[in-house]
Amino acid sequence: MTDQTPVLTIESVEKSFGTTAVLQGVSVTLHEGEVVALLGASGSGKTTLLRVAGGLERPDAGRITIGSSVVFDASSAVDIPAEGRNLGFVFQSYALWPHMTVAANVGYGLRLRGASAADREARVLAVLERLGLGSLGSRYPHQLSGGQQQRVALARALVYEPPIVLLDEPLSNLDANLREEARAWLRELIVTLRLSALFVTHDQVEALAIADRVVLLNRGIVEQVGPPDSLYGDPKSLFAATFLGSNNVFPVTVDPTSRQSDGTAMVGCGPHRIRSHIRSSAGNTPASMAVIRLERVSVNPVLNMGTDWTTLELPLRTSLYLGERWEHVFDLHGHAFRAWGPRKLATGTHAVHLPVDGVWVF
Amino acid sequence: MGGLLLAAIGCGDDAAPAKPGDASKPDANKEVNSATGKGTPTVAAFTGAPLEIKASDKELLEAAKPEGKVLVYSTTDSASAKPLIADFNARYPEIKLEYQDLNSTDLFNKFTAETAAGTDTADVLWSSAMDQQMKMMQDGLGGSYQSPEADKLPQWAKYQEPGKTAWGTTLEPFAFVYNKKLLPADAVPKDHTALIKLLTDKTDLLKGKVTCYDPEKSGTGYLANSRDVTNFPAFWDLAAALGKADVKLYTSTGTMIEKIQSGEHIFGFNIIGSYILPKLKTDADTFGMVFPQDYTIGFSRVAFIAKKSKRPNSAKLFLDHLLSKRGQDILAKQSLLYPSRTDAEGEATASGLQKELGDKLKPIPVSNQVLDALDQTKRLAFVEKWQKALGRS
Amino acid sequence: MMATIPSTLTQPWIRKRPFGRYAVVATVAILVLSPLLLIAYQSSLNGPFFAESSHFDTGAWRYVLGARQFWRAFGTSAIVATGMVGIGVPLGAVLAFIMVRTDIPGRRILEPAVLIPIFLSPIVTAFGYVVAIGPVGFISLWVKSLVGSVPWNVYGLPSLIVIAALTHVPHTYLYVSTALRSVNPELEEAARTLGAPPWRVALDISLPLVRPALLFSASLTFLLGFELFGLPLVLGDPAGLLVLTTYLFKLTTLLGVPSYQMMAVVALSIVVVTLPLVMIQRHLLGQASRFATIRGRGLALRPLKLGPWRWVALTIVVAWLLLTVAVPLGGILLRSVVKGWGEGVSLSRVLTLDHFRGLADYPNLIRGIVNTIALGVIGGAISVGCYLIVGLTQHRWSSRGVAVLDFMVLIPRAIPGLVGGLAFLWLILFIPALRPLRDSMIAVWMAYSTVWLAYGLRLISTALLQVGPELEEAAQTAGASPMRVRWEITIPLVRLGLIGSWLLIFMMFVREYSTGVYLFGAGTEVIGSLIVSLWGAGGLDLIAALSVVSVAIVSVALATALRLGVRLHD
Repeated sequence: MTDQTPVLTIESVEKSFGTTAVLQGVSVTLHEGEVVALLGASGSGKTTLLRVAGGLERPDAGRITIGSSVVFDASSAVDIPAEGRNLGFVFQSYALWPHMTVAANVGYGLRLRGASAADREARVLAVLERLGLGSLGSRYPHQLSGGQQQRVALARALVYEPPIVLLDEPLSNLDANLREEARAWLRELIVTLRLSALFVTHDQVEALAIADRVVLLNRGIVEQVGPPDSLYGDPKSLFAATFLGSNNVFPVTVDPTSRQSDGTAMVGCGPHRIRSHIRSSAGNTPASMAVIRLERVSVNPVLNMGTDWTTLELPLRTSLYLGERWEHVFDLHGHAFRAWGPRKLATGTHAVHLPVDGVWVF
Repeated sequence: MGGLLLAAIGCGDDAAPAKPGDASKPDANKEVNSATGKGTPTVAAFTGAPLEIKASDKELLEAAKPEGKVLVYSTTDSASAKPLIADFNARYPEIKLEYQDLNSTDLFNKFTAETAAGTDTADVLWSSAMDQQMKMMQDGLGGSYQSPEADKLPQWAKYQEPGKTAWGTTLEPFAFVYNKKLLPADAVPKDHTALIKLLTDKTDLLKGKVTCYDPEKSGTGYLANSRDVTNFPAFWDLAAALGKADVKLYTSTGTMIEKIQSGEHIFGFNIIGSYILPKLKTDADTFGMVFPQDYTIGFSRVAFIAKKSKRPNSAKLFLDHLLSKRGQDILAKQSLLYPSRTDAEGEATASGLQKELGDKLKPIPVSNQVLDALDQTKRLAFVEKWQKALGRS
Repeated sequence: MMATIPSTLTQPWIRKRPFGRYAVVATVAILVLSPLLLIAYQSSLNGPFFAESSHFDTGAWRYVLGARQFWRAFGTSAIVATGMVGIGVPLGAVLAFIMVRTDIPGRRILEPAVLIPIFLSPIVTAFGYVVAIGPVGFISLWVKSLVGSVPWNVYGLPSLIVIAALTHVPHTYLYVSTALRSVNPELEEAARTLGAPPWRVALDISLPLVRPALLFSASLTFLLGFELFGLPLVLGDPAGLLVLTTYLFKLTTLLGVPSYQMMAVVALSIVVVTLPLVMIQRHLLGQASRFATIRGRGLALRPLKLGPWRWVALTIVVAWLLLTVAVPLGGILLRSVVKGWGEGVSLSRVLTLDHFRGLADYPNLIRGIVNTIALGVIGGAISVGCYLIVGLTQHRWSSRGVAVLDFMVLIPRAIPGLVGGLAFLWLILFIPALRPLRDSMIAVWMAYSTVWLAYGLRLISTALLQVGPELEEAAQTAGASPMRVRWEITIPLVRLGLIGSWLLIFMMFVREYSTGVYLFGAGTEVIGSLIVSLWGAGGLDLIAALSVVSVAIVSVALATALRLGVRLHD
């Protein structure tokens, strides 16, 4: 799937706006045929990073290489502007030019590259049809639905076959029900066209679903990079663990004498004790945070505590009906502790099971 | 050219001055007098019949033809000048007359700057700002042309110095003007003393409704008032009376006329008569005008040729035309500007005024004497005294 | 079919300094500063700068700065200017809010009418007031017949301030209404849902959001207060009131011949007023001197429902229109068809069309009107093109250059026309390269364009601000050079702003006079010079007729443009 030729290399890029440091030394590599997601909260610097890659912002330090050409290097004052980088860029707001037809919008990049009118027309039609917009060429952007506009924006960026496509929150402007469909469709399109794509999103599900690799950004620094499953299943920090998935997070104290060779230890939260995985050196201090994904929690049908220190006896506070399942909210020493289940529970205490490898303590 | 030179040396009228009221008749002096080079147009010219041009005129015309045009800067508005301009065009179709009417300050500014820059500028200057015209003469901006027509001008209208000539083309009186509807006929003052009495007696009627030029802001006003001082010893009493009557001062004749017409003002002191004449025709019910019997000051629109004129012959042609009987008659009959030429005929002529007022008519002479109006110390002193007399310092 | 599509990533790219922008800043600087420097030079001499006898002398400065009248005139100007800002800017803002953001009835007719005072010549407006509400004006006499006396005085400081303020409302209106059009309506609706009546919404939400426009309007109005000439001349002189410009006018005759050096000092004193104005403006707007406006084009402008407040709003608008447009225009219109007026005149007996006939006979009238229209339409269009270049220079440029331009563009407007006209004449005459321009209208056009730069530019800048940056960035990423982006994306998107600017400049050019007074020749006269020429003929008759004609022409132009879908904003 990915051959390891880097098509876009971002090295140690820094960028400040005024006194705010938005990127504090970020490095990301995009390989040929790869889809990489830049994931993070707002203010994490992900959009800035994308724009920096596209040449729309000028970093204060660092180096950027596209293919074999250095397009930016702070130390040697190389700075090729956006129009020279030959990238495709899809904007969050689509940025379709209202005074031009769909066909003119899409064909613009070709026109700039000197394609003949006939050639342009053919290619534009081809890409529009590819994206299911074949009959809309003569319409104006305001006459299209949001989903159609998104595809036009995509078509515009792809028609001149750039080696790299940059997408800024490509699905966030779509209606919720469209978004799920669009996820699959977008990934399929990118893979089929064998594009190399870098996209920004704040939606973790989107990132996990579409990307081959996810770069998690936290306040201008790369928190963790890896394939989606490793990011989800093997987070290296509390931030990474809690950013993805739906989680229960609660403070615990670690009992250092209970450490075992497999990396587990006993932790306590109030009167409760469970065995859990200590994920980072932070776990060495007595006070830490424990994280468990909701889907790992199960409620025993019988109040059977067991002896392996993986079950807690918790009173049920409330239950919420979500349609496809119930969400139960327990009380864990004053903290809300949630679990999913297929059916309603009776009031009172229940045995809540936390598998050892599901409890991460940072 | 030689004929003109002779004409310059030669002097003396060889025709009797036309008397006002004489029916226009062919001038006996129609034959060419090559020594003096004088020719006089016939009346037939008014009807558009082709004009006979005298031999010497022809020389000038021939010299002017290659120049092709004459540029005139003037303060006489286009409408009033239109008949004269049309006549010139009819008379000399080969010479294009470009007539720019400007207010006097703009004329002065434009001409002096252009002359200093050496660019193309006016050939003839024709302005009612006598002091500024004479200043430009003094500063060497005006040239010399001993126009053969000038002989017929009264003495005060002639300025002749070595290398410099200027001519007073009109004599327009400063008059008393009033709104007939609001000022009873028996109250109309005959002279300046009566005016003082009127202002003092009828202060209630006239308070805030008397107007005259502001000598501080209007060159014309200053000229008039400075002459008032010399002609009327009690002028400062008059000023005081004006002050008590809360006189309203303006720089624009148009404004004053408008306000007298509407009745906002009832009486105007030192209003230029030539502006009122047309109003006496169109709005006789409203306007009344009298010339003060003790003395009436008259100013003149002064004309001269620019020294560095690029088209001197055309300029001379125009000046001649302006001073000719034909031209001056037009000014009298159609423009109503009181032309100064002694034999001009028409409704409004200087000689007519002369007849009416005798030696009470006090023309401001076209001479260096006018320059004392530009003496800054005198001016500021006058203005200060004026303000004090009005009670407005 | 092309084999491959060429890449735009072809090395080498040269790092370019924005020479184009620097060149524009330099050009504007030259245009704007030359008259100023010449005037400053002149102020330090003892005679005309072109006279051989003139030499350095501080006499003019000493005289003027020591003259009590100068300071009194300065103070009066300041009072008038402050009054104009205090009355005119809030009124203009309120009018803008009412017209743009509410559902006031009759908006289509009212909106163009609001702009009429912009193209009325100030002297004519002033006389219109005299004819209508002067001591013997039509309305005054009618009121007098009802109540026995005229309860107001059109001459004097209070009337001058009020009339000046009212007639300058359209300037504020223009800028504030343009800005209001890009305010997110949801911000106002949120306030409504909380229970705020429309006037509170205006005061607390909408108007604070358009702070830059308000500040600019206030600065401009204050500056124009110092620039006033026609109004104080007609309404102030009779009351003995002197403002800086009429004081300047006095200096042209006070000493017999115009004293250029003293006039220059007075002119500079007005320019000096702009300095702090612009600085205050920039300081109040802060570092981000432009407020971002709309993002996409999705937000429809939903007007606020006024409910019972409709009639209040309508009253305000109509009252302003009556006082500012109907009264003076009515005065002029009436004056153009009567032989006489005032005390003791029965209107029905004096109606006449003679003045229009007299006008038709006036020499060069048609030529003057044609010249004016040509100057306004063609000259105006070219001017707008130049302003667009300046606007694009400031667009998306974070540099000191923007601040420099902002300051400079106001300077020509600060130089009073009496002196500005002289300065332009001198520049054309004494700079050999420029001399040939004089005989055509090019010199006049250059002078006009320089003086109205700030006005035309502002509308264009506002339009440029409304272009979302992504639209330009999208073109960039597709491979368009900055020039192409401007030409193919930015400029088409501000089309309406350009046309609006053109219309405004057309109206200004029609009304302008003193700037070009020395640059006209035979054959290049315009309506303004015709008016002055008519003035010499005595009386208002023909001037009133000509004003009616020129108002008719501009109104037709305005109506046509609006009909064709042009809007002065958006």
